[in-house]
Amino acid sequence: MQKYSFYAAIGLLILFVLTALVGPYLIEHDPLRGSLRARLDPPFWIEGGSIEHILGTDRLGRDMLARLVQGARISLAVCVVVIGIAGSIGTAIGTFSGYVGGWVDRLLMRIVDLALSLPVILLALLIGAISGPSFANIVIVISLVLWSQYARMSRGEALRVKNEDYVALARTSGLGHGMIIFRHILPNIAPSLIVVATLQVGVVIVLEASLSFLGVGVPPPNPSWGSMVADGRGLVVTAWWISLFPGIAILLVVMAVNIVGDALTDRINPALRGRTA
Amino acid sequence: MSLLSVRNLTVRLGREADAPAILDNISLDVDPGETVGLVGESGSGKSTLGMSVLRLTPPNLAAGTTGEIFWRGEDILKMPAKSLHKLRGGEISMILQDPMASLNPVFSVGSQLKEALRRAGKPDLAKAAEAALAEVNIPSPAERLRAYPHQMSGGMRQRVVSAIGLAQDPALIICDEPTTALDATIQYQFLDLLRELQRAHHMAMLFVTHDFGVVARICDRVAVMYAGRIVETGPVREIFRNPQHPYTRALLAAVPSTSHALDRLPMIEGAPPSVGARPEGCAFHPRCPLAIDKCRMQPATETLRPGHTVACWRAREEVA
Amino acid sequence: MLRQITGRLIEAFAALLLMSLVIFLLSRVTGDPVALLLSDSATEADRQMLIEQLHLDQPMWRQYLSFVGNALQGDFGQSVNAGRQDALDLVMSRLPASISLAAVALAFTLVVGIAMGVVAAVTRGSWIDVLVRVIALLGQSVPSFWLGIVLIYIVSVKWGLLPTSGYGTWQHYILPALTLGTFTLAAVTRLVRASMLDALGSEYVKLARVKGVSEATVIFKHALSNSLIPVVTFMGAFFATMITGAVVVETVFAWPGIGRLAYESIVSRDFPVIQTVVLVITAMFILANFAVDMLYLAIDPRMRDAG
Repeated sequence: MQKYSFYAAIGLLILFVLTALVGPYLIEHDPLRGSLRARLDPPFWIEGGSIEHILGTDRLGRDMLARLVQGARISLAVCVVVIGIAGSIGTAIGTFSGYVGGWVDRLLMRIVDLALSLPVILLALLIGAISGPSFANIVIVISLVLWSQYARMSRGEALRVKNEDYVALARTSGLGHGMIIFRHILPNIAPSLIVVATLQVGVVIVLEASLSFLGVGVPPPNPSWGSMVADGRGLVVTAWWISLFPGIAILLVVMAVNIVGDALTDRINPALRGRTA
Repeated sequence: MSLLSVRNLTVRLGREADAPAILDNISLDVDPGETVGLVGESGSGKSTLGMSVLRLTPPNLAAGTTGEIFWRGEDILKMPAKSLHKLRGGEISMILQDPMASLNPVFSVGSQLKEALRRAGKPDLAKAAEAALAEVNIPSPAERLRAYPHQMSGGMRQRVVSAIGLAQDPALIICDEPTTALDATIQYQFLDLLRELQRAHHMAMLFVTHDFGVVARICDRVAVMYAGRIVETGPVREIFRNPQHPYTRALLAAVPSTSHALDRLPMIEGAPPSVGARPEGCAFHPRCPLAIDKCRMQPATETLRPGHTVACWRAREEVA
Repeated sequence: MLRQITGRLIEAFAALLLMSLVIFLLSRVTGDPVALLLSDSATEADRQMLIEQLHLDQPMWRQYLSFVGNALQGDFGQSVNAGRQDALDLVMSRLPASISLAAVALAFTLVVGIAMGVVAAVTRGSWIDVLVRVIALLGQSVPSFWLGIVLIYIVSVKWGLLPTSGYGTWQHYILPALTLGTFTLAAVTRLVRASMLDALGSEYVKLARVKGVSEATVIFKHALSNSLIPVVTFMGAFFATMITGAVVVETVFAWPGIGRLAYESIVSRDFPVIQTVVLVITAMFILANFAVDMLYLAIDPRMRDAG
């Protein structure tokens, strides 16, 4: 049972990535431009729908499928960039902190605690309100929310690994600090980081979608799944498909990520199980 | 009549007949007031035997359990839930291995002790609890009752665990390596305390350990386990004077160094086989210095002298 | 113990100060504060008054001091919208609706989440366990803004069982609280299940069983008491999720709380109100974290003695 759900989840994620990478080239409709003649067309299996727009069209007559595919690309881009930024900054700070120790470590960990104790999502709204929605803003804001988790994790691992015999041996044999960190500490941290990163993919997708839903995420007319749900909000009674499909897309991708993340957690770091709220 | 009488107990990892066996056809008796040592390396199944007696093995092991465990003539494995419930703590009690982990961190020592005393129907719980701590040599017991486990040392906690074990005046107490986690000096102190308590309460004791030094100090009889089977049993003196099984001899040879707890025996080459990968025949033969071709078949258990049994093809030859 | 409490208080204060600094810098460094803080219809005289009021002609540190000074006196400026309401008054008037919704959602989450986690752990591997895990997986994955819309469509529009949105009767609470609580419900369930499994396999539960206490005592006293400690540790995080969620959920359900106020003021670019909302929520957030820390000290005896 568990095995099947894992393979299904992996399959779904591969589909998601492929859709994001090559999907836009396979669809002839432009996700940004609609035709006024085809406004609010339902999906093809509903009366009034057509094969032309398989999943129907939105308020401005834009093809839903084309927008969903484009939305996958945006979601994936945000995930990759955010996790890249938050992961490398957080890991660098955490590893450094744990490796150096002493007052530097105490100070940095205080800052991490502070970062965790602030409702950073509201900062996102603030930044959005001041400088308007943009791709850069959303990346910065979500990275601000997520870096501290990497810092915590890598600091703990660095502390642990630092005292292992083989690192002590490396140090006595005159290996430089940089080399010790790259050769001995980072490879040990890597598995745990992969687990955290996987579980965060879901968080990033939902955060991005929520911010876009609120109008401070990916700027229109770019189709983020979150802003697509917002588009259809006032029309659920008459044109339910506009909100339904992007929501299902988010649900499926996040669920797949969580299944894979849980499986990796069990395999790599069972102590974390259920503890990544 | 024996107090506890284990007959052909086999515990498999699951219900299937070909599932690997943790315990393989074990038979063992404990008489009233007697201390029986159960000796073997980790993974030999000795702890599982202890838990089986109280029917506290995990569900997959419980499903794979066959044989009989008689308590005063009644089979524990067929006992209804109600009698079983009375048996646990009341007639048979247990001291667990790790004193650091076996007390609940969020309740005071007193409340955990009183839980057991209440079941024994003691009229004045506070007074009984104080007396119970005093009996295990805990200084200023009245104050200690209010303490939490983390405020006590390992040796102190293990005494609390013993007090809990004794609270309901059991007829048999199973000690699952109770000294392994303790410092060497405290170990012997604790063993002497156990011995005293045993006499005072007229209990029988099943003492699980990997350390023959401990056996010499506290046991009357000993059963040596290897890979889920009992390979040799006998009175402690007899076994020390005249060990028959090569495995027993190797264990005994390791004794001088047992002032430190050790889990793997340096005198024997190799490690004990894991449950799923036990060799055919005598499971010890790959590590045995005396092994011959015949050892690929399971040797029968023979009685050498009254009370002294051994399962080894080469035992007779050595005696002769 | 007193030392710990003072330590936490100082931390809480530092966090609040940090947030005020961030808000201050955001409003002064990026763009033109005058444009941010005044409505489009403001006159030149209004401009001059604001510059004087906020000491915008003076050095940055002086400006920050007066910003903090004003804030401490409850002066966060006025809404730029018609009506020019006092920003703090506006936020405070919306607070009760938000707090009552969060309280209902949190209560629902804890009761149902703990119950599901315990049942799943005790029946590990059974179909009940599988069902609970599927529910938790769904709850963890569904975006709340979408769930809210779907619930409104099905329960209110199609079936006509509950009001679609708004505030007033107890029926109004059900859908928003359900939507707001779903993610946390999943988190609590997973957490309780995992820590219950740990506890049920622990030596102290073994000892309790050896003692012969009843299975109910083993589960509800010995195992559950230990499993609730991580739930308390995560309460701060749960509260954060609720606050974050409140902006979205209150917007979807037209709930007159500060979450929706935050959304509205962003849409209408009402900066004085936004900064007030953010500061008030930060203060609540920090207060809640402080309360959780105290609760943690109270329930875990090991913490009371720790340095």
